[in-house]
Amino acid sequence: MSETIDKTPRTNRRGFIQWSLLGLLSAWFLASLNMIVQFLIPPARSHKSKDLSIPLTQIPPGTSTVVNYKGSPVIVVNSDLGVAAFDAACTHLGCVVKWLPEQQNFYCPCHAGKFDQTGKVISGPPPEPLHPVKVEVVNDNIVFL
Amino acid sequence: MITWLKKQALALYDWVDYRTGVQDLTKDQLTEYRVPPKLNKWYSLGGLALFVLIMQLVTGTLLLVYYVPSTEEGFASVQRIMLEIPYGWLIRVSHAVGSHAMIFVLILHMVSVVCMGSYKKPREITWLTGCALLFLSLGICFTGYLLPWSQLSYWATTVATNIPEPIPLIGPWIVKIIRGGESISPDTLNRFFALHVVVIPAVMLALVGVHLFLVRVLGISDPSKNKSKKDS
Repeated sequence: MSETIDKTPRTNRRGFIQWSLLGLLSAWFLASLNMIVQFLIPPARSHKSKDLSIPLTQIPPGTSTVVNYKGSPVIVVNSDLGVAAFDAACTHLGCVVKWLPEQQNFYCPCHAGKFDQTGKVISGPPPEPLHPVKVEVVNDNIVFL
Repeated sequence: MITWLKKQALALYDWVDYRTGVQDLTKDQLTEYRVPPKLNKWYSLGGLALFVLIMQLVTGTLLLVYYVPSTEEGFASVQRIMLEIPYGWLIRVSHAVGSHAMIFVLILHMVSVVCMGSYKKPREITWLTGCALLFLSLGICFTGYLLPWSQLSYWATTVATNIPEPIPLIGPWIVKIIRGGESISPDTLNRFFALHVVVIPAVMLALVGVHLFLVRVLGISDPSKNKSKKDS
């Protein structure tokens, strides 16, 4: 029986196994890579804005808060003129404005743009007033319309 | 075109080889590395442990992209990984299953080393670094368990950190050091996070380096050889 065994190396079979193994490994590698890429792609923010509302107690008179509304920052203030909300992106170059409680106006930290309580430009480079966002106070809750 | 590319690739390989000796290195350590005859499947366990370690590093790094180490947002971020991020569930479950696999593989590895007597002279340092790696693995499992900040992880960590308390004199002090306070708090989460993500992995990688270096320097142990020496 042992005499019949061919002692010459079967290069074809070895090559086949090597290529199969390489193919299998590449398939596995590509599948993993696909998984990792999908994992790392920034996920679309699920802004099914399920009737976003903020309790009025969260912003006592004179203060403000920034919330994520439909994927963009919105600044809600409780000023002398009541509750109002604006798109927090400065109309100049889109930095997020902040509310200065002492001066009761909005201030953009990037280029010192200033807006009053109604969003009108007081000073600085912004070309137009802040874009208002409609809100309403219902049962001590600030509700986005 | 293809021959030109091949030529360029070879030229680049030669360039690297001349400066690193990578060809001799792969020949000595990989393609023509001599191993004892009659290796059995128990010899694969160290390599398997290394594979699991690499999987843990990859999945752990990926989890780090979305996980937030805070008591307020920790659980929500884990939920987000599990429910919203594509393949997040797979990566997190792989990390959790991998941690179990790690301990399982390490213990099998240890059993095989004990049974084949591979820890004996001159391989004592390899054995000791291996033991340290087992304890570090247990530590990394323990610290990782708290991170989701779920009821299960909170209470499991409460129970486990209570264990040293009955030690006379220093027991309560040890518990306080582990917890970073009298009870499980945001500070506990932060120190466990630091241990889990930075400290223990760094020490483990260093020890794995020593372990593998020694395995290569001393060669794979061959129990049949030891036996024949004893017999003769």
